[in-house]
Amino acid sequence: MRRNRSIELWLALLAMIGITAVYAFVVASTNEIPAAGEFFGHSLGVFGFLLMLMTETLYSLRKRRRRASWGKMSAWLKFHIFTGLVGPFMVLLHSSWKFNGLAGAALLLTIIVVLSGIVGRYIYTAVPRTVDGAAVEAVELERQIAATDAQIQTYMASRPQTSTALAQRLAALPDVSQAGITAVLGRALIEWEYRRAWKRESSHADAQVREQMKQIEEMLHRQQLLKRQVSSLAMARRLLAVWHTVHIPIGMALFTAAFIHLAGALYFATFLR
Amino acid sequence: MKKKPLGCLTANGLIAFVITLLLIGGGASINGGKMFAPGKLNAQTGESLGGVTSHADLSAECDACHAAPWGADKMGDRCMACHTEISAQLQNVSSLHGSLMQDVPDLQCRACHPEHRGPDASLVEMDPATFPHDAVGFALTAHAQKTDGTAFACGDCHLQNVASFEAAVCADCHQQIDSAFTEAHTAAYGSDCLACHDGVETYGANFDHNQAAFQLVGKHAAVNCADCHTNAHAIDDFKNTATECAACHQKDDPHNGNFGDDCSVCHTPEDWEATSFDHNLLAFKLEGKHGRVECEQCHINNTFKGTPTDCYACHQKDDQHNGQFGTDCAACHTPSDWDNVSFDHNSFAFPLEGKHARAECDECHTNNTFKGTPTDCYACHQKDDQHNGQFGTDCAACHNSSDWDNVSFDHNSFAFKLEGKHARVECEKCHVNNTFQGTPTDCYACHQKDDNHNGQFGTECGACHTPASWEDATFDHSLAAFPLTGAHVNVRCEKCHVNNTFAGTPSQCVACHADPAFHAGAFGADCASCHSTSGWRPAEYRGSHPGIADEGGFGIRHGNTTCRTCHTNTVRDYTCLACHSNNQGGEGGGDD
Repeated sequence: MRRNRSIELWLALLAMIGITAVYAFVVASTNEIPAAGEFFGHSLGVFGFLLMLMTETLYSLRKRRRRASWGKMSAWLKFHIFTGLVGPFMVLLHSSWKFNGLAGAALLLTIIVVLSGIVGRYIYTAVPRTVDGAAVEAVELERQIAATDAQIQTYMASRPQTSTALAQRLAALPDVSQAGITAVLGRALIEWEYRRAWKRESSHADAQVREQMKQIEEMLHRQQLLKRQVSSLAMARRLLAVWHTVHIPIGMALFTAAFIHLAGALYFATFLR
Repeated sequence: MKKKPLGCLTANGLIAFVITLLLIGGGASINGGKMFAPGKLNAQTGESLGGVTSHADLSAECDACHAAPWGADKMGDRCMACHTEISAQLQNVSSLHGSLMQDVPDLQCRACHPEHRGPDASLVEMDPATFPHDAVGFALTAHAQKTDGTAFACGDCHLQNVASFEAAVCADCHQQIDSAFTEAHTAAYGSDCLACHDGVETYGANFDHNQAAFQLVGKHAAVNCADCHTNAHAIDDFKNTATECAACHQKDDPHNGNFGDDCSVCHTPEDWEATSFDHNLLAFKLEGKHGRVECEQCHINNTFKGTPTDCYACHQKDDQHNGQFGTDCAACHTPSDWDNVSFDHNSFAFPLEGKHARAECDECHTNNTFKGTPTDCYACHQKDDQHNGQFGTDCAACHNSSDWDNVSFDHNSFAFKLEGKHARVECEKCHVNNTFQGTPTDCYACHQKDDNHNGQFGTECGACHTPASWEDATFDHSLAAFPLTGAHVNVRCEKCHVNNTFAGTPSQCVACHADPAFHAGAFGADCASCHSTSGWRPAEYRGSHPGIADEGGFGIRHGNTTCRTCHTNTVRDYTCLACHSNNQGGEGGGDD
């Protein structure tokens, strides 16, 4: 459903606001930045790292279990994104704003991985998927395009007195079914230009045509989306593969550094007598 | 379909893992454990301890301070390995570290000496809110905030280092708060503040003496602390300072303690001299002329305590009564005016009423003698007794104090009450020759001369006569042998009692009623057998009648006739012809 498409982002934002409020309260009451080795700062680090571990492991494990009983892939991805944002945020607060030594390097890697994850999700959403997250093949996309075209033709045919004027308005819209890397990485801009043109044409049309444009808007949007996905599907998959190639080693470096930092913290501080 | 391996197990992932390990390992081999340090070590140099002048010299040697968690020694042991002078202090409880460790045995060095906070950061950080400063003999209770509201830092008091303290710091700071107080205070108690203060209580501008039991009012507020708190060196000494006036003002007491310890009864803190002594709060109030008397007149030799309050103590010399009225002069005299005596004779057994109130005292109290003065009338009035003592000595029985002559003698209180005309009779009429005692009370004693009955009715005149009127005698004849009934009641006395003779007056009818000729001696002397006292006539004959039948014993009935119908002259002759036409004549004439 379109309404819940970015719920994980809102939940993550809400969680970060809540954590920030608690952090601000601790700062105000102690009049100092919570140190990484003290109770509150340490707790932020522990729970943040656990969330990051979950980010790294749970979604990957689910991808390798294709049985529906393990839950929808899209839900796991949402959880992956949620923990992937909230966990690093807590680790950032845990740092007490010091970025030296191994801990600082681990934090830097964390930030890189988060930014990489955001890019990865953007590429990921360029690939059409079913409701449970499975990728849709090009053949299926062609079939859906044909069905949508038929719907639009039927609609136009039922309104011969206005079809000419409507067709003229639609012809003035930009073609968004481009191919190449621009269609994948710049699709948000393309989408934005298309919508702007749609509003322009709609405002210039007479009332009857404007009403018909409103009725046909959903079908046309889907038609344009399918065409763009078909044309950029191969590029999107290639970019996603490249992204994986970069993202996974950075993540490995991050967790390696994090575990060593953890061991050092236990040795030098937590178990210090 | 062959499953893809987990991302971390891919070639890229494993390569990244190995590279990261190599980088960290390489860094560690070059810089030691620096990469694990949360911050740089302190670089301030000091005395060389084993060739080390600052902690920063040990940046690459983590184990110089950090003992392995599983090792036998602790970080504190490694601190003491270098800082041997501190180790020695721990054995001395009078030292800073020694006293701290004694109070908090588990206290760690790093609790007060944090590290990894940068080369220039202080190695000493003690939070006054949590640092057990009282363990070194001075609590920070009263030093939580400075006058500007900011928190105290260690360096505010410990100018050199936290292990040292200069007493002058106290005075320097408190001079800025209240220089006058501080100077006076140090002048009184010296500059070794810690000798008295333990940091628990508050002082100076924050101290409000008025919150204490003894509030500083008037001139007390300007007095130096030491003036009252003499030899006070601990808070308890101050708290236990006596609050009685005499504790400080005994030396100022000109009354030699006669007025007790509470100077505030008369004196106020505003002004010692302006006394507000109110003699009237004492048992002996100064009223009238007493209020103008000099204190010394009563309080001789400046002695106030035990001054007698009885009048005689001062006024004996003024007593003209020679003590006969006792020592309570106030019973008659008032403080307003000695001569204005308000003696109330009425409070004595003999109240002065009427003319007694106007009598001169010496008329009764002869020779100025008051005590034992008799209170009976005769003591004074014997000379006035015209009754020669016959009425006794209680003149008040008849006379009153308002007027001797206005006698209110009540003859009725005696056996012979004066009623009717007796009340108007002159006393001398009965009491001849002014003799009262033994005066007879029987009527005849006075009224014999008035007895018209020549003693025939005895001497008890009151049986018929009343004091109201001698003439209106109310003799009751029914009490005599011959009760007066019917027409006898109206008969004048002399008709029966001829020649005013009452005794022996016959009671037979014929004594007064002569036998009429009509009876012709036929009925005897008992008139009452036919007549009644209601009226001489009609008479009713109840005897037998020759020739005429008796009708039931109730009289003779012969038609509607009376005796005189037939007996026209006497009862011994009769005629029938008065009624009957055939008169046969002759005695005993019968009916026709």
